[in-house]
Amino acid sequence: MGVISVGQIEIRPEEVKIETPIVIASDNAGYELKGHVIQYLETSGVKVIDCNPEEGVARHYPEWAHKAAQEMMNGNAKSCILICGTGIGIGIGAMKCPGVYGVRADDSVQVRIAREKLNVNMLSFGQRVSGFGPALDMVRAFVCTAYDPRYKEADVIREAEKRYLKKEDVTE
Amino acid sequence: MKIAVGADKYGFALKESLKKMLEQEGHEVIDCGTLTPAETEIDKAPEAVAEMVAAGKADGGILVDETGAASSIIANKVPGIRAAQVGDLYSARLTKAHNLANILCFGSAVTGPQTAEDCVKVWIETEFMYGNHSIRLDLLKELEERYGK
Repeated sequence: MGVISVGQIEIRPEEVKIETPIVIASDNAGYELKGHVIQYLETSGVKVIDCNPEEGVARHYPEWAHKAAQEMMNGNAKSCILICGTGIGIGIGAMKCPGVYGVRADDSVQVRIAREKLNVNMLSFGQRVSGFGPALDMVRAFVCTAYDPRYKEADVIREAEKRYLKKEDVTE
Repeated sequence: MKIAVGADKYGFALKESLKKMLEQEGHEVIDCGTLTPAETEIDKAPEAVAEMVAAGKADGGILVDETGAASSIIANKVPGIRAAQVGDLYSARLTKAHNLANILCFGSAVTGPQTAEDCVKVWIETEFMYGNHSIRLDLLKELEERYGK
């Protein structure tokens, strides 16, 4: 894995506004970018759990999504970053699981708004869509934006989930 | 195609312009609100559109809010729904070809009307590729059966 050359701004410990550790997973289409994300977070001292440290493991994106969601459901992780070709499939898979509220994003503005208003605990993006510069910017926004409890939208999406999924949110 | 559309106050304007485009292209549009740009609950339109698509009352759905996130979270909790937030044409094509996405979500704060319009057109035109992608849809269904009500 090469050194990050775009001068990503390191995340200082006091800037971390999301619960950690962050579980990270990708299918083979997102494997390389996952490496950049992990390197960025670990360099910044943010704790991560890597779901698939070995490249080339033949699993489908819903399986990786489920694995990451299970780490959250059993309390090992509080949030996740998921990467596939577009970030869509793996994000859909995770959101089928209780307690996962995600933003699939194109840029950091979207991530900031979703963290602030919805208290999202999942970020997904696509290695085929986003270069590692914008991708790491999204990671920074995800990690460094706090939820503002004045926004009730976060409660609304969690209530909506209860109408469709069996289990209560066990990540909170 | 019969397409259900919905939005909150942030997505109202983009929803209206996509609706107009769809009607001009000869599609039947079912508008699940909001019907005015006034304050609305963010869950109302996503649930209405998702339930309509899941029940087969519409062939697909389009949801617009500020970032696309609230819509896609809520819609994806509904069994049978594969809701994709997109902001570029490649993703719009791939999510139909690979994920058979049946709802597209847009964030009005991040995606402009012409890009959104082209995404919708590409999504409608693209065919699902089957093969390995069908296996993945079955795995998504297993997750729905495991956690869905």
